[in-house]
Amino acid sequence: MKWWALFTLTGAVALLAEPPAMNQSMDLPDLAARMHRGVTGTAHDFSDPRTGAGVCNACHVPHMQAIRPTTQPTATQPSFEAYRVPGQRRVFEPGRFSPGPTSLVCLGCHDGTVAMSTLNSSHALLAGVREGFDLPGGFVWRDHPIGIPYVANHREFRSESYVLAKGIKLPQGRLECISCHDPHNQAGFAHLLSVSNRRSALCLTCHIK
Amino acid sequence: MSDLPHQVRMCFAALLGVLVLIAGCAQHEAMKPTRQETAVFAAGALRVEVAGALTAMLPHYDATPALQAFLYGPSDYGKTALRNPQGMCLVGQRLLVGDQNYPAIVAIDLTTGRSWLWEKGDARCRCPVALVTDGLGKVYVADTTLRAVLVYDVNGQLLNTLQPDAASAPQFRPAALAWHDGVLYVGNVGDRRIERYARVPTLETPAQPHPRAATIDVGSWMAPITNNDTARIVAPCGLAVLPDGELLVADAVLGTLNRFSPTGWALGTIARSSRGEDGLIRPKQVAVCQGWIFVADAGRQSVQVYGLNGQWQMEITGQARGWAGWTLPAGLLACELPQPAGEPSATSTGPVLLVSDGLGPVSITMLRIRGSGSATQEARHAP
Repeated sequence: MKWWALFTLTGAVALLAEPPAMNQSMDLPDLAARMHRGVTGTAHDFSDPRTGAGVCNACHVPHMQAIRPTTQPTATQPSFEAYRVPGQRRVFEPGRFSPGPTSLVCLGCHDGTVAMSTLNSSHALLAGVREGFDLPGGFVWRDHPIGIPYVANHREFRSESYVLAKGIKLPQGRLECISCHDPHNQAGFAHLLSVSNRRSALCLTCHIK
Repeated sequence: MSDLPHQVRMCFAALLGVLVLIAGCAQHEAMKPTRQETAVFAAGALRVEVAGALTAMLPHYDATPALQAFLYGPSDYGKTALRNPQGMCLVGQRLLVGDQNYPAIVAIDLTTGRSWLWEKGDARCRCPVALVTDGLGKVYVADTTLRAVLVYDVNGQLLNTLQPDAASAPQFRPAALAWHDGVLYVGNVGDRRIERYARVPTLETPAQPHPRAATIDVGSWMAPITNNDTARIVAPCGLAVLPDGELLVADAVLGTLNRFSPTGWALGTIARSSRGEDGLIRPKQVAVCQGWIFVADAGRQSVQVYGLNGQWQMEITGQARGWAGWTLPAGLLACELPQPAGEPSATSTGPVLLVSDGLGPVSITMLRIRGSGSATQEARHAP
């Protein structure tokens, strides 16, 4: 076989290969261990062996009830949001665009203080902002918005079941930070993406173009 | 239209004008600041009154007539609304607010309510997260995107940028500022430490027909306050100085509030990461007012209050009914507000705490602080 053909074939195989999907049915300790490994060494790793601070402590505050959050309350297990403390006010308001609790966890650091700001930047227009382009005002989200209900039954967007099957999370049916990003870095994609964005695959998971 | 009689066309035009006027007046009514929900928190000697949105108490804030705005677009007078405010400082009668969404520093004249973009010239900040003034005519702004502390005069003219030597602080990223006794403390989240910049004001007399004294900025970076076995520093996003010079450091990643001596010795921990009533989750800025320590916690969506002795006092948070609280509280400023123009002096606001909310419907909330805290500064050693 010609060397160039072998090279092309090898490259095609590498490009088409996808990382193994996360097994959602694994035990909780195994899942936690896998998440621990995913975060270790990333920008979210604030562990310190001198003091014993672990990888999880930066985002997960201890002494929280170890109950998996449920979306629908049952007779024996109430519905609650794992990121809220008792008495913390709800941020979801029907009919309004507002970030959900999961996004607020991210925004607590990604507001320009601890980490890069997502309040004044735009994933798509970041270069323009840095170069001083004067963007029209009036909107908080300059790029892809979060805190919005996923548009279902629309000819420009894929069905919600399809999106969820591809690995895009929609907490309470809304688009949040964790829809596109996986803070536990399970898939290993750059920028902690949930789905690879090679050739805009992440965008095309939801958008029909 | 041209076939209609002249009188009909005149009536139609008049009707259209009336409709536009009604729409403008309706919009003006809608834009009037509405009365905000209030709340009162009391514990021991401390009483905190949530007075509501700051702008609702200012005369003519954002008072560009709606019809004028509708016809001619936004004007400079009173139309500079806040979008994502964070750090604040008070310079005379002007409240300076770092707003990320422009990004810019918005100035609000607290006596007239007028607001405008404060910076002059071509230089602009990129991500102003903390502001502080030295009381000597300089305003310092921590910009995390520019990775520098910007130095302005009171009129918004950029004078200088401060950055430590690249070799000693390769990841310099200032996220918090505090000023005390000639020293500027800078929370450096990039290098995980607190920088200290000692500013030495000097006087020089320029060659003028009427000699004036001018203060120039001369200073040097001192040894930073770094991690040690007693207290870790990861993301110092909140700095405040107690009356005796001790430094309070709120760490957003560790969720702690620690005390340090002016020279950097760790003196103890006031609060730790916890979901308990006295814990912190994502503390941002910290302020001292009337002998109380206030910490804005973006994770709890509240402001935690501690005494100078380190004892937890109360948590100021939204209520199930009435005041809804904050969404992403970040900035704190303890001050006494100047009197609005025309107001009698008897209606002084007294000591207040301003809390900025980057995402909430109310950009800046004013809290009235009543009752002084204990003068004892013996730290409580948290378990």
